[in-house]
Amino acid sequence: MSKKNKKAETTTGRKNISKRQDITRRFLRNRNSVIGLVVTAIFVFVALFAPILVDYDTQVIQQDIPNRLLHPGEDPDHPLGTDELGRDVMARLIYAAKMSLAIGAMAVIIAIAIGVVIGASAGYFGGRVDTILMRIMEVLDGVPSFLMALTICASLGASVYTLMIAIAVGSIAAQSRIVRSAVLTVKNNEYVEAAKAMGASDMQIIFYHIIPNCVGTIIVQFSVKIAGGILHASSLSFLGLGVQPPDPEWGAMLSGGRAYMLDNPTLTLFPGLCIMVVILAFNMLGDGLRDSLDPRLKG
Amino acid sequence: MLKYVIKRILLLIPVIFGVTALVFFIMSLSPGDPALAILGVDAEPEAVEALREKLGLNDPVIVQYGRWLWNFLHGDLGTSYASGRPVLEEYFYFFPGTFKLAFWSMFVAVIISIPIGIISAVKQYSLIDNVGMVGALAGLSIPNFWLGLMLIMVFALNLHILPSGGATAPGAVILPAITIGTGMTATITRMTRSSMLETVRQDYIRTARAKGVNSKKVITHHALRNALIPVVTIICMDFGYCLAGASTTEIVFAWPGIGRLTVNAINSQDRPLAIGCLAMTAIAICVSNMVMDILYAIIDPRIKLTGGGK
Repeated sequence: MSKKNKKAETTTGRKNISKRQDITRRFLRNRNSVIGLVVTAIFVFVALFAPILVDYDTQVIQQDIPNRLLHPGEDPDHPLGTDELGRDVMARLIYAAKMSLAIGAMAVIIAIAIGVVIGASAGYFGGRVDTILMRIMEVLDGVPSFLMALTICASLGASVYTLMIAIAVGSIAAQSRIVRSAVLTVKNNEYVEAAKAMGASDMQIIFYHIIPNCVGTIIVQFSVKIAGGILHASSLSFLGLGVQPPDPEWGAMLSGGRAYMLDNPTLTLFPGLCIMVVILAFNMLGDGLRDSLDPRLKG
Repeated sequence: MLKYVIKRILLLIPVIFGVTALVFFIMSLSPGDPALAILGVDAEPEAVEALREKLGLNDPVIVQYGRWLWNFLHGDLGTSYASGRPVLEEYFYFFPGTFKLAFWSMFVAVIISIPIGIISAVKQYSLIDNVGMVGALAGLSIPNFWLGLMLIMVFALNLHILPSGGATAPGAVILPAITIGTGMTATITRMTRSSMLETVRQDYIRTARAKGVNSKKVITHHALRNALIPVVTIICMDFGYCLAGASTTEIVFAWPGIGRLTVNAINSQDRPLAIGCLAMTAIAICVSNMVMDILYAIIDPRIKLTGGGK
């Protein structure tokens, strides 16, 4: 196959590069997507090493009332100040990165896993299966995803796990619709027909031939939806329905700082900045990935 | 046209059934006892039991749902546990607030994003284009509740020029409308930009240029009109979602609207009110999507209304 490709490329006068090199080059040429990638990588690094960077028991949840509401820079031990219970804001922000990214990533993994199965079946089988599955998705779509997640969290009780499930349920419908349309474009390709002619079963065709060819779409969705997941998680925590105290989460920290907005504005400023920067980075990364993996979708 | 509208309304019915059944089921999983919540924790067990019986909470979920559906079909969405008022009355009491906020938010979004979208398209790959696009993405990435708090901090607490909340003071709508509006600019700006880029490559634009029409007039008279058609669709769709109420923004600004009503109802396990609000929201979104499709056909006669679904 590679031989044939090379030949085709040389005849069109292009350099001999693989598809992967081509994608990488296109991605690196876009400044915004590289910035997105770097910032995302920093946040992922901080999230992964949060338990090493800060000590949960002595820094993240340890209350220190005499030193409460210190301003940033007032005490060298607390570079970003302390919150209403005297806990170090910096340590909490770092630990919250772990919570937010883990919730966002897990929620999206669940949603994509279910979305891929539903979308691929609907797109591949078509006809009645398609109609029924898409009608069910329409029902899920009937309530805005945030309100759906809120209902689930309020009814099942707030916890990190409920939060993941709630956010996932809220985005299954959109996910399956995107996978479905990707499958519809791939489905009629010759290699699918060839696989069918060779006697492959439907499952084999879906998992070995169709889904791998929709991977570009799925990767782009992963990046964009994580941004949405983190936003939903922080909104729910802001309303008191997400991550529960004493665990730190950006939305919850922001909500706690509301009462001190006049004298300690940084308590609401920093967590909000974290949410904004991480979401912006994931969105920029997602845009860059979309442009390089699937240039047809370029907006 | 009439046939199309009827078809869309018929398609709405299973969605409403599905949504309400799903919400009913999820809320019934809640361990809390609404009767106990109404009477307070100190209530006599007999009184709680009597109220449970009266509210029909002892029946199986499916029976409760059947009863709710029957009443719903008769235009009765039940009574709120918290206020004791009919759910529909509560909903329509808060609806004008949300509608007003939705309108002004769309206004903010449109006046920001359409000019940026046009300039970005006309000067593609320029600095303005890049800054505009990243700015639009930033608007999408700022959590509404945080932007709202920051605006309150600057304009209400420090500068004292705008009210920090409520809906009665003059100018109260400005800050919440900016908060919601900036969040919607991303999609509208991008849509305007890509639609403009596509339109200026059309033959009739080249013809107009060849005729000697100056480039400003080509953009405003020839390109913009056609480019805005898909943008109008996006705007209508966003408006539909606004009618669900912007929960966090309404809460931050203590704005009397559907979003805050729904969140409070869900939070306090006020089941009739929560389910009623969610059902009404689903209807509002479906109706605005339908109106959007019809508007689309009116603006662009090339589109024919056929079929159902999305």
